[in-house]
Parts: sequence; C-alpha cells; structure tokens
Amino acid sequence: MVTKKGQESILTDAPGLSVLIMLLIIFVLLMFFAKSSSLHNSKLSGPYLESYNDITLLNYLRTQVEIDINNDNKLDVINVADLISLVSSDEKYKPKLIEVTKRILENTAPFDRSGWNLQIEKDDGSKLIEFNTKPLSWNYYSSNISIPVRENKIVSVKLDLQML
Amino acid sequence: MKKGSVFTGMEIPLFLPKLIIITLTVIVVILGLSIFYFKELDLSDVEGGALSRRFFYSEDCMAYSDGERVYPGIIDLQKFNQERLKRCYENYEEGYGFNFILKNSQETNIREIKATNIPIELCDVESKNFGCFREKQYILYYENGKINGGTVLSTVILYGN
Repeated sequence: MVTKKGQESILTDAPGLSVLIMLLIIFVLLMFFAKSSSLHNSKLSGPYLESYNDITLLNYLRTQVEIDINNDNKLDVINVADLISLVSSDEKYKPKLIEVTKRILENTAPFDRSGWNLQIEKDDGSKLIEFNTKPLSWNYYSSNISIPVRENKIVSVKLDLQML
Repeated sequence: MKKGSVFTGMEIPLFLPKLIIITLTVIVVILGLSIFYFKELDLSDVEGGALSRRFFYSEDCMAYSDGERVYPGIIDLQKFNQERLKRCYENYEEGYGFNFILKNSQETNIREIKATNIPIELCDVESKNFGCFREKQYILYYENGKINGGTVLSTVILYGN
C-alpha cells in the first residue's frame, strides 16, 4: 500500500504481511517435522555395534565342532574356520556347517528385531553358503574375515548386522 | 520548516515497521533452523555398549589370557565372579549398575554376577528413572581346559539417564 506521501508502508499491506507470516509458520512447522522424522538418527549405536559384530564373527569362527573327518567313526574336534576350509574342498561337510552356523547365529542377535546375514564366498566369487535372515536397510554393520584354505586359495566370511 | 529541507527525524518512524518485520523474520528463520539442528543426542547406547565391551575385552575383567596375549570375546570362567566384576568396574560405582548372566549353548544359566540392587526385570518397565542398555553376545568360555560356546546377557543400568 502507498501512503498519501507516496511512501510504502509494509504494516498497511495486510495481504503481503499475511503471506509472510504464513510462510514463516510453514517454515517452522517443516523444520519441526523434519526433526521428528530424523529422531532415529539421534540415537548413536554405531561404535558399539562395530565391535559387537567383530567379536561375534571371531567367536563364530573359533567355535569348536565335533566331526568325523577320516571316516574312522571317531569324532575329531576342529573349529568352524577349519570346517569352512573343509567345505571349500568337499561339499559333504556342508550340512554340518549349515547346522552349526544356524545354531550359533540364530540366537545371538543383539536386539529382538535386528537381522543378520552371513556370506561365505570363495575367491572366484562362488558362494559356499549364504544366510539372509532379513533384508538389510542402509544402516547396518559389516565384518569381513579372509581364511586361507587348500591350494593357496582364500575364502571370505562376511557377517552383516542390522542396526535398528 | 522551510520547503525543500529534510527532517530526518520523521524518517525513523517510517523505517521502524520494516526494521521490526525484517528482525522478526530473521529471528523466526534462526529459530526454525535451530529446531532442526540443535537436537538432543542419545548416547546411552554408546555409553552402555562401551562399558559392556570392557567386560569382554579387558584382561582385568573377564577376557581369557594365556599369559602372552588376551583373547577378547573369550571368557575365563575362573574370572567370572563378583570380586572380578567389582574390580572391572571400580571406577563406575556411582551412577551405574551391572548385571551379567552366562548361559551355555543349551540356554541354561551357568553363572550370574551383578553390581546393582535394581532387578533387571525393571528394565522392561517403560516408566522408570534410569536407563538400561541390554545385549546378548555370543561368547566362548574356557571350562576345565575345554572351550565351549555360550551367550552372555549384559545389562548396564545408567542412573539419571
């Protein structure tokens, strides 16, 4: 609006002022809802979960299992890492590896709703075993260990743990 | 006043409304941005997780040691007692509570040690004046020279959180 002296007065420009106030209210509301929607990010868990993942994978590979390797009807005690090495050269040990893996990892997720995936892969890219308990979203932690097996080959073991 | 002369004193009241509106706009914009950026960060998981890690990692706590090196994640059953727990968290007596339950692979309780008077069941209650960090960690433990698989249920109670 223009005053009689030809000068504009923003206070007398009611529609313009209303629009400005509306825009400011919308802006504040947007900021408030943007904050509410990102609340899950305000709880930090990452540093602890990384080491949780590492210990779980290490202990999984160090777990001792009893298996008859020489077909002499005597159970030999080896660890899971050795069992993976056996499976990489002879698939007949695979059911035992699957059974042991399920037993160890199914009951050890840190939270009830979290999921875990495990991949054991040869260096040529072929998978020895793969478990996908839940589809993982973007915020998960991954631990990876390489195991030397026969014929100078490498098998990689990767454990993904879903953060809530 | 003579014609053509300028009286600056009259310009101030005309400028004031604009100044007020611009100032208010700037304040509202800063307030809006501060609502988004200045949020409280919940570090209870990191704090509870770090304290819980100490239990599994430190030789002064429960980690197995063969005299040459320490094996994080492998529990020495001989160390799994109240005295050791107290020594492990001697700097965290005020404001913290600890409870650790060792279970074997058949989910049977082997041992429970604690440094708190609060029953861990209270962590399931929503309305309480303390925070709880809980986790289940797959561990290995030495018993009579044999290594076994099991789990440790850890509860770290954070008073005033």
